[in-house]
Amino acid sequence: MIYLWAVSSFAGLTVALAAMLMIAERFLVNYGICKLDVNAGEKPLEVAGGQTLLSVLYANEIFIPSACGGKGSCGHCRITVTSGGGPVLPTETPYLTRKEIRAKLRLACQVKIREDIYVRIPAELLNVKMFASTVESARELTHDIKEIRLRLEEPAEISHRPGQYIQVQAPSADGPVYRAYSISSPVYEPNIVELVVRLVPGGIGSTYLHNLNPGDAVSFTGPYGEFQLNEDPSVEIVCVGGGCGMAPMKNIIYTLYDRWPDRSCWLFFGCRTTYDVFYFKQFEELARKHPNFHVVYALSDELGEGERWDGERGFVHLSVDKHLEAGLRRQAFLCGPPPMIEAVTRVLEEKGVRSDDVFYDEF
Amino acid sequence: MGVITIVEVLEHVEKFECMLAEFYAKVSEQSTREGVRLLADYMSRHRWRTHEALTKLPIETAEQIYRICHTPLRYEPQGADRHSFEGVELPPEATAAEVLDAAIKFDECLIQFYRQVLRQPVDKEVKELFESFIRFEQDDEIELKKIRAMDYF
Repeated sequence: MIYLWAVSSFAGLTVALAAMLMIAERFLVNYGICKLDVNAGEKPLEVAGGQTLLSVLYANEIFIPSACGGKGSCGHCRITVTSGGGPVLPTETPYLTRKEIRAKLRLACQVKIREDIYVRIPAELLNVKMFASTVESARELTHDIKEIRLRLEEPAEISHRPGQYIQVQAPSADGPVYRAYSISSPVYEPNIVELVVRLVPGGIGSTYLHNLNPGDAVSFTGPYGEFQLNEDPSVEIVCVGGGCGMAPMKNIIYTLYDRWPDRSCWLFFGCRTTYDVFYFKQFEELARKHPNFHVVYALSDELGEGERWDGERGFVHLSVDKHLEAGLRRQAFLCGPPPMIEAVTRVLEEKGVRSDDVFYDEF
Repeated sequence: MGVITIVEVLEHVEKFECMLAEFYAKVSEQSTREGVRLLADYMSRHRWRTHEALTKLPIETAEQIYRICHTPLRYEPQGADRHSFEGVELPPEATAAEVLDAAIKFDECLIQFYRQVLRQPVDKEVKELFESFIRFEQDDEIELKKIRAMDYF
């Protein structure tokens, strides 16, 4: 019993000392006003020291992607700190490669502003905005996937590329958190952002979005993402997804056929059962209008009683292997769980697709 | 209690990773379910993902690697060995959820194994290396739990 007391007293003392240090730093240590220089004078700011770089950037409407709310557990908020960031912390090293550390990349949520600081942020991220929107419609696509259409209020339009994503602000017990969702609406609908969201049991973002009703307000930042659709119309586009991995594919395909009606494109989509199939008829309709568009849905589970399916069977990488001929110039976009991504990537490499032309979004 | 170097600790992990690869190869070969085969093939490459994560760590110079590898420790490594497979049965009809549960258990074994090193009086470089290993396994565990919750396979 005495050991238990000793251990708990020591632990309690340590926690109390750590808390006192944090409070003392907050109220007693004054770093004063520090200069925050973004992109060599492009956006000079003066900020109160002692805050994290990420929170200061957010307060000044520079929305760096971050999925964990600044807890240092997602590794998304990478920016280049050319000077004034202090040493790289052990909490950052698991997310940064040697090359990135040499290139002065840091996690903005882990860098505390204690002196004048100089950062470089890609121009594209400086264009990211905070949007206010309302839910125009929310409909069930399957038992656990919903399509949510957001009408933009302020700003009223978004300029994005196919394959990009937004970060939805969802309420949580620890304050607002941001969760990333791909935009499924095509780029020619600038006043709408459509999302395809699968309910993750216990997931903060998906639970919030699944409970929304028409008229509800939603805030988000965006657009984010580096994917660039190949502009050469002779390059065939291959989209492979599963589950809610449909969202970026839908955007890519509709945007593609709006711009290049004759371009060759394949959509491979993996589902477990017929109850998980959605958008199939819509894509078949599109394929009738555009003969170079090919839709392949594959079911991985055995058919249940009363289920009918004339399409492909088995996991989606097997369909990719069966339908794609080797040797064509292609750009591929994959979206799904890591084992699926790995299996499809291997098949595509066997078909001669260069690894540089394979883009993926794991979830 | 003998003296063991970090390089011997890493060799112990490598041996365990090879055992895991063999285990999953067998699961894949025997399974009657396509989803289980896909998952098992993915799991069997855990070792290569660990290697990839290792190459990204901020350990740069040969002296640094030499210093870390030859750090002596006075303890007996426990776990992450053939005993970790005891009670893990994956028959040919095993489900994807059972494969994922086993994989999560093996990740946990590795985390416990790395934590033993952190309980020794090690310097900052070694501590950071093993903390990175733990974080890698924890991330893998989160990913596996997510795949399990989403019922993909």
